[in-house]
Amino acid sequence: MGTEIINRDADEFSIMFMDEARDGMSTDFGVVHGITKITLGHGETSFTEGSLYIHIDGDATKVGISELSFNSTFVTTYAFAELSAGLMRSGCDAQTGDGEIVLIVLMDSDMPDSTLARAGITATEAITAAVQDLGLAYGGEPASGSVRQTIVTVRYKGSGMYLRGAGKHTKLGELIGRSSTEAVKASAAENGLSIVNRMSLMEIMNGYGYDQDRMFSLSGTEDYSAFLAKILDKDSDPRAVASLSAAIHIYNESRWGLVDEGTATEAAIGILRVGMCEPVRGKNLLETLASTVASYFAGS
Amino acid sequence: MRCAWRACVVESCTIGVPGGHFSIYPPADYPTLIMLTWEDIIDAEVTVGRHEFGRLCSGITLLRQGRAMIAMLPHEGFRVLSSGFTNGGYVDSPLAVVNITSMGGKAEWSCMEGGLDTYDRVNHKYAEKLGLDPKRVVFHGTAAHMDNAAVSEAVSPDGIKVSFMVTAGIRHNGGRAGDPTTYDESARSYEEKPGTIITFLAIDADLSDGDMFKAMLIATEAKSCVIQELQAKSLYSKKIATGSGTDQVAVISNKDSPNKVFGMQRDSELAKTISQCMKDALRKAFEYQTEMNPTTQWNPIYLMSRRQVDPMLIREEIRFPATHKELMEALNHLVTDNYNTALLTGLLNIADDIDAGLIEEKDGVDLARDICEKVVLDDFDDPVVRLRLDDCSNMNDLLSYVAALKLLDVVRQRRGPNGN
Repeated sequence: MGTEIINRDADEFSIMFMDEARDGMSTDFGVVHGITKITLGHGETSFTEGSLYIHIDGDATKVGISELSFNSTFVTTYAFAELSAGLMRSGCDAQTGDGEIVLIVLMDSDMPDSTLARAGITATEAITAAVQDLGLAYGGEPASGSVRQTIVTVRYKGSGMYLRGAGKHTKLGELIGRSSTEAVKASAAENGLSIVNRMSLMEIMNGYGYDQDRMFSLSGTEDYSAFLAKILDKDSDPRAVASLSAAIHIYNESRWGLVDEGTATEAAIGILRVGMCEPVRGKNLLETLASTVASYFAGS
Repeated sequence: MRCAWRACVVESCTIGVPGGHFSIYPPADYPTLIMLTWEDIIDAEVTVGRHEFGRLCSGITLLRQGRAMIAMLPHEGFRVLSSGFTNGGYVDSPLAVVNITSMGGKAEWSCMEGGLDTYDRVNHKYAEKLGLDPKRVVFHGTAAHMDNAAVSEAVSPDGIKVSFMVTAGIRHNGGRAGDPTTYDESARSYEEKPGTIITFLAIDADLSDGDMFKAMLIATEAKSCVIQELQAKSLYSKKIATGSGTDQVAVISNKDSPNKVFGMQRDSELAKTISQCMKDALRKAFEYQTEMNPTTQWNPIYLMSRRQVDPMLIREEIRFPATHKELMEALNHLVTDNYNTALLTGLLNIADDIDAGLIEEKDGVDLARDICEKVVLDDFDDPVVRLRLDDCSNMNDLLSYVAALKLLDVVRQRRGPNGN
């Protein structure tokens, strides 16, 4: 938005406001006034003398940035997203590991505190949307966020424009949503996780609790090395990946109570038979999916 | 007493109305119109009498009065964080947190046309009507009816009570974060659509300001999960919604509570309890307001509508050799066919994966076509069907055509082998 200076090195990422201090709302401090600098780094989270410091464990060079505008409404979002561990689904136990998402939403408009809060709601939904788009799951649960999430929404008091709406139905909300999703995905990709990772049968099955060893035990084969070689060969076949993704979706729908497991199993089997191989029935739908994938890997 | 139906007859295209009210509704080419304002409605409303609707933790009573749900705070030791438009933000010692059903009809439109300043005035006037000091009330608004509010309460394993009051409807306003919008507040004053999720979250603990914001966002994430689990669609894109456009949340913290919360972790017992309790309340609220539940959502017509494939489009795909009655009966049969609906959601997932870039469109459509031929449809030997299936180059074309063929299959099956 023209008045920030960004410093970036391996230890810290900083945004400095050169024209006028900003105000914001933070999940660490609530409303903070007179922000002159926001830093992401390995130090302790704090707010002192206008400097908002946010701790991250990861590499500060891997911040995703998305700047969007519509007419005179501008939003710039900075995200740090490490999503290879520490995922969580709302209300469920979190995945182990040190994942984290930090989101800083800069809005080039003045607004009341309630709108800063509403911007945080929109940004949170955008994080969930990004995680869903990436198809992230752990322990059999589709993820909705990270175990550690810090959100800061920032307004510009000096702006000539005063906005009160930051919901998804407003242009400001649209910009917050799009920029937040884009920035999260950009940073996640910098940290090694993108849609490309989902183009893998093993990645999908890992999210549902089936690693290579477990798949091998279901495969009915005895040569582990040969099995691993076949995984390498077949893991990214587009038809197999898309059919497993569809079958997993039906599995989730059965868990959410949309369809009974018996019907879901028959539908999933029908899809896998077309896209992958002759299905192998297990003691439940998830095991049927895993056994079928293992059989697909083991086959010639 | 003022006449409830005070009418102002105005000329066509007149915007300024005696009395200072403004409207450009109905359309300007109406020769004359009768202007009914929000003030008329509030003046006419009978709001005497409050009754208890339920309780939230920390001694908060939910009262129903008129169009409002009033969360009456029992003492001055509360702090509220609200994303609502009127008196939102952090508020110390409010008298009440209120959720108000909008008026509907022309009068409601006149509120919006006046912008958020008018919206504030509407809220203040209504609070006065309810006998509340508007300066000490935190306001929220929705089209949902307050009798359809859901209340849930839970206690975290570490002994902190949380409770929710939720009103919800997203059938007409579901949206996904980042969806395209048309409402530019910098150019136009205010826009409201029916379908909003209003959440009051009371926590019997003294939370730091950061933790109040965090609790608001934890409840938000829980909301998006429930919407995903119901496969509720966005009305503004082909995707599943994450909320409605106009959702509002109020977090109510009891500062006098001996429970002190500072630095709440997202994987803490309290956070988990907030999430689970929110999910419970929201599911109930969806059920009460719009009968949105796993059973009603499991409908192939609804599920396909997310990708703009509707019965009209399907009906145009082929010239059905069937009576209207037969087609309607076949459609009703398909709506209750759980197996085919499950297959349909698998196909929709392939379409979503194409959009997400997981699979090339041609590969995805080829797979989906194979699934349709081998699993969804009866055997066919009609060369036209072959040609047309092969001609489907995108998922929408395929879904629409296969749905038509499936409908025809069902008609034939229901006629029996002799075609009767």
